[in-house]
Amino acid sequence: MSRPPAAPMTVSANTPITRVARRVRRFWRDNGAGYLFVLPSLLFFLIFIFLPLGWSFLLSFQEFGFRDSTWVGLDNYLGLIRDPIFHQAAFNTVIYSVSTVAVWVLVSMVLATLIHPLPTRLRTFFRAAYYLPAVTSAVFIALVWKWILNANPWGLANHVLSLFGAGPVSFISDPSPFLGANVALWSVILSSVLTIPAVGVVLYSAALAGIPRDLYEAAETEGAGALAKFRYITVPLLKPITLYVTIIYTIAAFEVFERVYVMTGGGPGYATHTIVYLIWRTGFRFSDYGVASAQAFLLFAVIATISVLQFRALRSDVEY
Amino acid sequence: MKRRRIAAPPIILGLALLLPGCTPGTTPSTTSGGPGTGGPGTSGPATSDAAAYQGPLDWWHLGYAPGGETATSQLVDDAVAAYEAKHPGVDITVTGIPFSDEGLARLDTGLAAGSGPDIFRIASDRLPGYGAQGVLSPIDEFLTEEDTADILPNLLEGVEYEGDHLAWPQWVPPVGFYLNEAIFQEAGVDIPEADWTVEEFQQLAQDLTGDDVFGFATYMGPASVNELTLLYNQGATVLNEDNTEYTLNSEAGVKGLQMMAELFQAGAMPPDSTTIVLPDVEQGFIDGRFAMMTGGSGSITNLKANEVEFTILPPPIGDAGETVTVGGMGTYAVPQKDDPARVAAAHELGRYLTSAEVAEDVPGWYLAPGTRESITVSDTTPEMAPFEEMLPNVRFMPLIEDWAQVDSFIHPEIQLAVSGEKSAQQALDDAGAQISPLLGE
Repeated sequence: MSRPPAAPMTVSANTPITRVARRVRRFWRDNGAGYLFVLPSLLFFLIFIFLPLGWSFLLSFQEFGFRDSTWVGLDNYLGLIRDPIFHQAAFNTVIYSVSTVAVWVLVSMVLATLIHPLPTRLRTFFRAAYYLPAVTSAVFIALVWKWILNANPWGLANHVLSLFGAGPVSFISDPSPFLGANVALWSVILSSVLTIPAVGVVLYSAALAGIPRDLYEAAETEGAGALAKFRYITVPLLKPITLYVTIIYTIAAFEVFERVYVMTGGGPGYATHTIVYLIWRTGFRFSDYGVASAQAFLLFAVIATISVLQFRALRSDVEY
Repeated sequence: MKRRRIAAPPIILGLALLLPGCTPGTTPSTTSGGPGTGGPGTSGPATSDAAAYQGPLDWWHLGYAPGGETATSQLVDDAVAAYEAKHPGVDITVTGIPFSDEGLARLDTGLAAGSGPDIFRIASDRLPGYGAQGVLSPIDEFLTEEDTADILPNLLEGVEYEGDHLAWPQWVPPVGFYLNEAIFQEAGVDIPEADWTVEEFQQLAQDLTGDDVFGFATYMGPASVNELTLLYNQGATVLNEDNTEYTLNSEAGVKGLQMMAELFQAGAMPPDSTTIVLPDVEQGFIDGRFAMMTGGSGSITNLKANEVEFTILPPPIGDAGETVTVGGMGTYAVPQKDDPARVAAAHELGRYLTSAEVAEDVPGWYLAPGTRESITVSDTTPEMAPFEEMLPNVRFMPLIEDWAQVDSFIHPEIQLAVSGEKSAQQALDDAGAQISPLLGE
């Protein structure tokens, strides 16, 4: 008895599987090269940034141990809320950030505006000169400021004061109250704001070059003076750059560390402790990586919130 | 709140991937792999394990630079050469780690990941932290009767934590007072005797203060005990004897701190005293700006190199009624590893590095008084004699797991008292408010 011939196998060209396979092939043909190019960078990011960050986040809920850690829930975060040293560090960081960011943004904009009309060679010279602090070691700059603001008579600032019969002032060694904070903290802030904000000057310079000349010419026709042009043309049209500069400076200010570490070591007392200094102290001096991680993620939350608020306050649809 | 144990510390493992000093391929250590603990023994299986071992040993050394770039590095290189010559088959690799909190963090990371060294040098105040985590192999099984007879008993106690001796005690650098002879001579003031008193010290500090000269300078930052000398010599201690209670805010502690604050307010201490760093104190002494300073025996080499004429005295006698100084202890510790022979060999190296034998092989090896009776450092460095004489009067800081935190809460408050922002009593009470919870008070 012979079997009936088997029905020929046919594959429909429109099954869902083949449709997906076709799409994947097409997608890969169109975009594969691009993804291959970004793959190394993506892997680097995942392994060296995202993964440690994720682990660090988990660690912020643990009491760290060399061999094993203990899950403590929100204890690390709640402990920080009750910790007077954390309060002091947070207060110092806010004072430092508000003061320095405001001055840095203003000084960058004014300096960029002042050098913008200069001849090309002079403008290039000033841009390069102002950018020098950005390529100079932050530790070296802090060491120089430590000497300038040294409490001894041979500190440069005290030497200059003595020429006018004033001083000496203890500057970075004086924790006594002053203007809502203390002398040491204001001295550190002074050293920061007197260091030219290099990136801001360069960014504003580039943005100023993009503002059409005819806007200024039209304003001049209407009789606008230099100040009026600055206020009603330059400042509004620089708003997108101002947003960017404000955000990067805010992040930099909240992360201040090396200046404090070198100039004061966080002292006298806790007068110049900042959040990042505290994170370093907790992590590297106490080996308390759980609490240090919690401090770091609180700082991250604060910076993220402030950045969002700054985006909302300063965003604009300026086009020119 | 109910607490749950979590497996390995993830962030430290992550860090271990990043840090170049963590040698890949090293067998991860376990808590049970090394030799057990016990009382001091005689030469036994542990010693024979060490003798049988042939292979590599990794030695991490704070501040070491390869190729003998510094005096200390040269001493280390010489010690390695001497040891390897006596132990054919043992191949020692020395890795330098920065003498800083970051360097210590790297060491911690290596120990946590089980990829750390076979032996490392460490100050005794960090031993309890490692002891509590169980990452060290105690020396007890490797201590011979000769060792226990040779090591000064109070110094052996200085490495004891919960019944185990955690490391080989090497040396004790007590805090002494350096007097700049040129400044004394210029001021027409005689150098006092070793039994000088706090009152004499106060008077001298003020008498020697003049144009561009401050009578006294001390470092009062973290990770140091220099300024605590002036509280301890009044009879104060940071904690009570069983380390369960904060006691620095006692009458004696307040008196010592108040004296320092008065010196500062009188202008006998430099105006940056609250923020001055340790090397700047020494530099000021070398430059002739400070008439007296506190310092360990490690300063001798630098001062001699700079041709400074100086006298070393023990701290002035205060209400304690006798010479009292403070200090830490330099030790060599051996981490737990899976290979008992390798651990035994590391202990053998630890014994050698803390013995009189190494001092014979490597002249100048001891930069501070040794912990064994058989070692007399002043034979080769006469300036060390005053520090050797201070040894019986050294008070060590408490061996507790949270010492780094305790230390970090004390110094800022001392700075605030000295600068006049707080009274001495208030400052020491405030330090206590931070410290007491750590002690479970």
